[in-house]
Amino acid sequence: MNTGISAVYRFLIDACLIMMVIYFLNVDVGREINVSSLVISTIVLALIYFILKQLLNGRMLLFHFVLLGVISFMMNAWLGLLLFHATIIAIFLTWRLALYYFKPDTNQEKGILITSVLLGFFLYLPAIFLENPDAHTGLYFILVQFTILIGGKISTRMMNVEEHNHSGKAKQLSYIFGVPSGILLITAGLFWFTPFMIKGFYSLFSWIAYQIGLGATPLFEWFNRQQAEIETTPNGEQENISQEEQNVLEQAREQTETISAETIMYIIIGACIISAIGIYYRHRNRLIRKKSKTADEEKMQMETEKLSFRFSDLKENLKRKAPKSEIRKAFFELERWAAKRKLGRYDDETVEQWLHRLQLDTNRYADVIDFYQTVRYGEQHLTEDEKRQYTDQLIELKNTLKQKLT
Amino acid sequence: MKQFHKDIKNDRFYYGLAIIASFFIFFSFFGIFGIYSSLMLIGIFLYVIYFINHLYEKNIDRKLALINLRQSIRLYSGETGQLEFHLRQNGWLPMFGARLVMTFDSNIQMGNQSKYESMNISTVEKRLNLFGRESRKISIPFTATKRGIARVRSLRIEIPSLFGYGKITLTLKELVKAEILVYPEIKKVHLNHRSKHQKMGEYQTNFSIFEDPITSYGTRDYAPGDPLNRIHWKSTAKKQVFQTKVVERVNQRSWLILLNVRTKDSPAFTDRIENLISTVAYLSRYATMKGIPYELLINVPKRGNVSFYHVSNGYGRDHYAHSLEVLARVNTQGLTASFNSCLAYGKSIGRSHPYVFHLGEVEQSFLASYQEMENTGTSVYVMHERFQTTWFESLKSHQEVAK
Repeated sequence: MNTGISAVYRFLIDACLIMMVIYFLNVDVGREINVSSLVISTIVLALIYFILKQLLNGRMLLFHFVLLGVISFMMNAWLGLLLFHATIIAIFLTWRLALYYFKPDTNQEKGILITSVLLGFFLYLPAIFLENPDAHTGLYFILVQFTILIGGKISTRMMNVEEHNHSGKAKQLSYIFGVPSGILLITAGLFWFTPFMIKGFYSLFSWIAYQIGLGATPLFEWFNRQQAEIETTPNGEQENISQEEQNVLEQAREQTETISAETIMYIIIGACIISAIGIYYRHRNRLIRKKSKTADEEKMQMETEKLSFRFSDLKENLKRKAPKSEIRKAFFELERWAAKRKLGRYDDETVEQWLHRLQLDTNRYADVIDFYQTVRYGEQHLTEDEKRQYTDQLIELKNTLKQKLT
Repeated sequence: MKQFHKDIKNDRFYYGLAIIASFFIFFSFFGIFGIYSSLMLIGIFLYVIYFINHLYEKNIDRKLALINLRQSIRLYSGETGQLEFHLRQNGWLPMFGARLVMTFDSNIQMGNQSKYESMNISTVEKRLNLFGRESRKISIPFTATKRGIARVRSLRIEIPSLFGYGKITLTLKELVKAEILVYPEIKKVHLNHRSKHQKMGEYQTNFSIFEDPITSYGTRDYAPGDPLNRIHWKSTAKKQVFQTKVVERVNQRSWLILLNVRTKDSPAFTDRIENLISTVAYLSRYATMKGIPYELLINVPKRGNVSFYHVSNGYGRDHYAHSLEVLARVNTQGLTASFNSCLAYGKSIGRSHPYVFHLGEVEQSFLASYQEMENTGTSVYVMHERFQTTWFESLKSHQEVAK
């Protein structure tokens, strides 16, 4: 079920990409294209695929995909697409369907999305330079793509959860459709609000420039004059020739000035945006690096769910004084040595547990454990023989740890 | 204070899109790209996605609460139980397909969901959806596999970013207040010792050489040899024949169970520890069924006046449950105490127990203390094990076998 949903929404994202490309190819040559024919083509292809799959009990061969490609091509041709474009659509969509069939875990969402955004922009440019009124529509495929992605992602995640954990279907559907719709609504609202924001920004910019003493600058005057003259410019038909010529010359001069003034403002805005993003990312990268470093360390601890190493922090280590007792000091030194090599004992770990964790035989070092615990917790003293025995075993333990490191 | 520690990881896909969106918005100011063109719309759209994702990551845990109730579950090995948590989202931000990852001691097994095991820790994960203003009960069934105490060592919730390509990890800062006590298995032992009523006590019995003069329940005719202080004078006056008080026969039946968890000449836990604990569990059950009071000493250190595990003298179901709990709490990865100090304490209280059972290794140094106990009229029994059969022998027989 989950794999099915993933395959469907990924296929739709792919379909949006190819539809956008085909749309711009048609727009660039001035050919009118009906978007609905592209959508119908995709939906019908997907339906034929599912019907074919059901008929064959999911045992599809490459032959069946070739057949699917041919059907798609014929249908696209019938819908009035150019044969070249029909071939591209048929091949691409059939390839994507075959890919999701043979490799259901294929996840190329990010690549497809980035390609769509960049390709959309670069296909949009020639169309807009040619002042094609249909150029804008092509970019809406990107909107559709992201909307499908968001809905698809939410639904796959919901389906990942076991059945008895599901909330009501209505609630689920409200999120699947509600979140993308909400985003689209916010976008539309902001888009509608943008002219007011720009106007406000322009007024603020002028006011600040005036306040800081740049009010008399040519820039400020240009904006004012441009606005004033646009308002007072008479209709061209009512003027005589000499005035018309004069006006053309004047307008040409003013246009040059206006463009340069606009350009300056846009350059300032752009520079501000780019530098803000640059500063933010520089700062952000540092944070992320720092976070990932600590996260990696935490991850290692989380595997065994222990607290920090006893000697993991060098500053802590320096603060910690070695005990006075010889026996305890020797053990302390060993622990510090081990901790520096990431073999240290945890705070809540006994010596037995520590050795057991390092896969060492605790019976072999029974004397070390016993003597250390006697001194550490029993506050007793050892005889000279016992001390010698303790030191020998401790050295042996250290050597074993060294061997472990190599 | 926030209940969770948050760690955000994302692969900066939406940052990249936000940069592209910035360029789109910037270009859309130029007339040549079309004023208020769809470039602006796409740029705003990508920015909205980025900011909503960012706000989601920032605020998802703001009103999220895990209701951490104290739970104590007691069960025998092989039995099943259920851990329950309540997760409540007081805010509006939903979680889709979040993973609840929990690590716990591996003496319980949480279904077949166990992801990996390392040392004594196992991990289990569960997926869940939690919508805005919603509360969810999460039940995790488990099976007790081994004696001991199982605790949830850590709990974290991994939430995928709202639009994908990232993950928010919320680690619970506090301890999960759930404790699962797995009682030891009960291993049958042959108890072939005959009860000898050697000590005066307070437990009524049909056959005993001891009598409690206070607990008289009737009278009988005087017989030669009856002491004068047993004569019931009021009844004698009524019946005009000498009457002797009939009193309850009593003896002392209580047990003292001593468990030595150490191996010979070493502080480490013996390999047979589980077996020994199972035997102690059987003795406790047997004593409870027969109404025999018992006291238990284990040479595992703890804080308190008695510096090792000690179950004071008592009987009945509650006492049995308490004993099983103490046995369940013996951690074989922990420390052991010297058995000599345990024995010294046992010797001091041994006078009130006619029967002493020793389980575990017997060292020469213990024999003197046991001998002293025997001299006061206490019978000491030592556990023997051979061919998967366990029985008790008296100290004398043990010494003979040892010789």
